[in-house]
Amino acid sequence: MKMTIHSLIKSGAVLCTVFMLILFTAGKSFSADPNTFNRLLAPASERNPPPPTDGIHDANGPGAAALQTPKTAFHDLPKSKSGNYIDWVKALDEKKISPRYDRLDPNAVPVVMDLNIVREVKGSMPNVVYPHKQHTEWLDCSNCHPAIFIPQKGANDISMAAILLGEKCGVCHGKVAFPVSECRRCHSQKKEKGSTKVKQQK
Amino acid sequence: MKTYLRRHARSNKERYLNINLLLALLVLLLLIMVTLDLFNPRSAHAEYADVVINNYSDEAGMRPVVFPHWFHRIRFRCKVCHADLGFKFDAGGNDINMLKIIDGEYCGACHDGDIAWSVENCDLCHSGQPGTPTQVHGSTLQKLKTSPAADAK
Amino acid sequence: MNKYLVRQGSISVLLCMALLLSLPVVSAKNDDRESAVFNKLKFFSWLVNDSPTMNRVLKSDDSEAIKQLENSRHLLQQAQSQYDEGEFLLAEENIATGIKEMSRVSRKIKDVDRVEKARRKLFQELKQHVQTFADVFERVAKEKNDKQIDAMLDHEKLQKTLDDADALYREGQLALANHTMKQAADIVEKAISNARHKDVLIHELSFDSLEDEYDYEKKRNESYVLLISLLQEKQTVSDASRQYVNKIVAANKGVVAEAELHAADGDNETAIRILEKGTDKLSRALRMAGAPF
Repeated sequence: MKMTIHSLIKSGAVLCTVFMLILFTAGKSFSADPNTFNRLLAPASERNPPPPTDGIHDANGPGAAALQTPKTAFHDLPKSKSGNYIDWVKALDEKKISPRYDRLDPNAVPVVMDLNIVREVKGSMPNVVYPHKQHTEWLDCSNCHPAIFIPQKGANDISMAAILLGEKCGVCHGKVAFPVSECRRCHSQKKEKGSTKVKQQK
Repeated sequence: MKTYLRRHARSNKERYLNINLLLALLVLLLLIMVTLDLFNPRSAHAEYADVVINNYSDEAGMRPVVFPHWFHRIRFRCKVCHADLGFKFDAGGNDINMLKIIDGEYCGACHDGDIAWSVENCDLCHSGQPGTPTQVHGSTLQKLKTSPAADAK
Repeated sequence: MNKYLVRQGSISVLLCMALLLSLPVVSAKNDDRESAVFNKLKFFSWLVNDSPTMNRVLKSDDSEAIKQLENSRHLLQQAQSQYDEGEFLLAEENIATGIKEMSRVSRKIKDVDRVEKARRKLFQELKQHVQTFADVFERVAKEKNDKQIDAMLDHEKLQKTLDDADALYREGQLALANHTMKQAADIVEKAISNARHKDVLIHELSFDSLEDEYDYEKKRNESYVLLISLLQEKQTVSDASRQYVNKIVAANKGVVAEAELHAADGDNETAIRILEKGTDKLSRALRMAGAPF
């Protein structure tokens, strides 16, 4: 009886060792199959990895193991399809999180401005609707005005290229807030008909 | 053969078996540890919006700082740090050093032992891989500079 | 017997090899600790012997603070000897206690100059902020031409708050001055928020002239070219798509030149249409090159 268990453990360990040695030398990764479905997209199980395996933290340091894993914190929060994979605005609305508006006062209330700006865009994409409400719940007016956006109609030239390069909306979207791969979150107002009409010279 | 083994039953064979068993168990244990540490099926994706700050860390021999936006976003609105505490929207663009933090500026405004843990927990902030350049992890600009095909290898 | 020994022996050798291979991974963690403690020790030693904080504490008359500094120096010596003996964890603990002590001291004996300078800067920024937004409110009120909107900003209260803040600033009560100025900022922000409540501002893509629209199109095309040049430096997904991208970029130069010709002739409308199509193609090329949008 003892013999069989021994030999089982032994043979198992030997097999594992050989397998490990092959992997060390060949340097292959587990998913080496070139025909995996959607190979460039990380599956849901690999999103929000814990610090020791997330590629940025040093797994050899004492810090990485002591830090909280994002998945623990994100457990109850509403999910989204990009960025942190969390819908932060929804989380705030549903009161799943209650971030402070003031460093010391947990009960401070933000000055929220409910003003929508609709920007007509060239081409066939729907027009952009910018809602101040969701932004002013998080930010102060001085964060954007006048340094990033001049608070005056017609004074801001915004193009997708500028946003991708990290200017204007791209200062936050694509860095901390949801990235611009989510087109319809901004381009949300269908155009009425045809393309832009141009006012003729007076 | 059999008589020989029986004669040495209590010595060589059992000895070999014991040694092998021990080694096998040790290897299994290490294998589990190593697997958890080393092997990532894909190139890992750190949490989106983690800011790596490496202005002075490399020279000082410390790991670069990894600032997790997500953790702070759950507890504070953007305005608190970016309007009240003076943090600019610029990874590495705020001249933060340990002296300022100890004096209560920037990170030290909260990491003072009252609002949050204090500054002697070096490794909780200085937890990045040595040599990582200052960057906002997962940002569009970062994606523009590296192709997804290279990342997935 | 030999076969048996050989088998057992080879298995043992294999297992030993595996053990040896895994050892570097485990031992790496120990090597790290020594250099980490060395650097922390360096920083701590600078903090208690050479830093501006130490200078401030020594210059102050606070005996308790000086005692805390002495305490930290003692901890440094302990940590140094523990490091020399190889007791890294103990050294780290002493360093941590020492740094904690120093940060408490540092907050007690504040760097008055720095704090004052920061407060003055904040005051000026806040004042500028209040001014900008007061102007914005005036513009909005004028646009709407409504007495109710005008009444949303209590000008007297705002002026009084501003004057109070200025007075406090002159007296040198900077923290209170900033607090008051923040209240003024709140007043203006609330006023604008009320004035614009539930408004929808439409920024039409309407231009005063065709020349203006052509300029806009040119700038838009240039911004896409800039972005695509950034992407061309990186590795694209495949050679075929890379070729396609390069082709489009080259073709775009021709498009821009053609549009310029039409514009010079006075035919802005054709120039605009040509540029629009060119920018659309650039957009497609951008996506092919891997831009995430």
